[in-house]
Amino acid sequence: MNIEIETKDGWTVFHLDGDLDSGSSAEMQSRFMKLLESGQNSFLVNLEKVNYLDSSGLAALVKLYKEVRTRGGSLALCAVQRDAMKIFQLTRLDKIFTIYPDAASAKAA
Amino acid sequence: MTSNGPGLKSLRIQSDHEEARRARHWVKQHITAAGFSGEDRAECVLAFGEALSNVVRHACDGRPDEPIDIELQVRPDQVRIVIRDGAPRGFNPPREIKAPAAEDLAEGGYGVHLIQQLVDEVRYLRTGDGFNELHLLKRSGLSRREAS
Repeated sequence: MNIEIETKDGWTVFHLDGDLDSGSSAEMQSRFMKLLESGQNSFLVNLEKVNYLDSSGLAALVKLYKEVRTRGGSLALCAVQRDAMKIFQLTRLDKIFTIYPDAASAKAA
Repeated sequence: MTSNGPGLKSLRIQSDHEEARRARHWVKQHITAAGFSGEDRAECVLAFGEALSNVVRHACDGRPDEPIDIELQVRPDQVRIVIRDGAPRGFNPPREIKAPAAEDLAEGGYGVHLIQQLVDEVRYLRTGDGFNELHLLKRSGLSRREAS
């Protein structure tokens, strides 16, 4: 998975490209935690280029969401693709995460 | 593997995450070519990915070089997938499992529930010659509607 990190206007945006699965979720978590521990606390995960997300990827997002909340920060998702949205709906985690249609909407919120 | 028939494809992979990804793309490619699309395709690929991930993680116990055979049979109305490995103990998903409540923010425990939600049949067999077989059957949305 390719991960690009953009920090702008108080947001740290993770642009993920590839499958978010048991092979890639650990790397995403590790990079995310480094930024969280460095004091950044407003995160957006852009899933526009993630067409496959499994329960390992979902568990990683839940863990990060909890870590961010514990530190008083926020984590939102954007541009969840149709196939990936299925897993959020089946686990009802679409009711927990704030999900924006795209990065621009998230930043404007 | 014992089944034979038209549209039967097979693939051997090693028990690591990269190989699991290759297998997912292989399944997606074949079911797409057979006319599965949209929700049926996404559900089938996700169920297979979850099942294979469990086999890699639990049955093969993190060893990256265990062979896993995948058999795929696609018909216009259904997809059958068999995942076969030679680990001493297979991945045998419980028949009924309660999904974690969303508000509990569980950091795991979603996989088996998802498999059960996404496919029409899940069956585990320990074969007489010492292999584990996980059988998945996914009927197309159209065939389910016609049957009901």
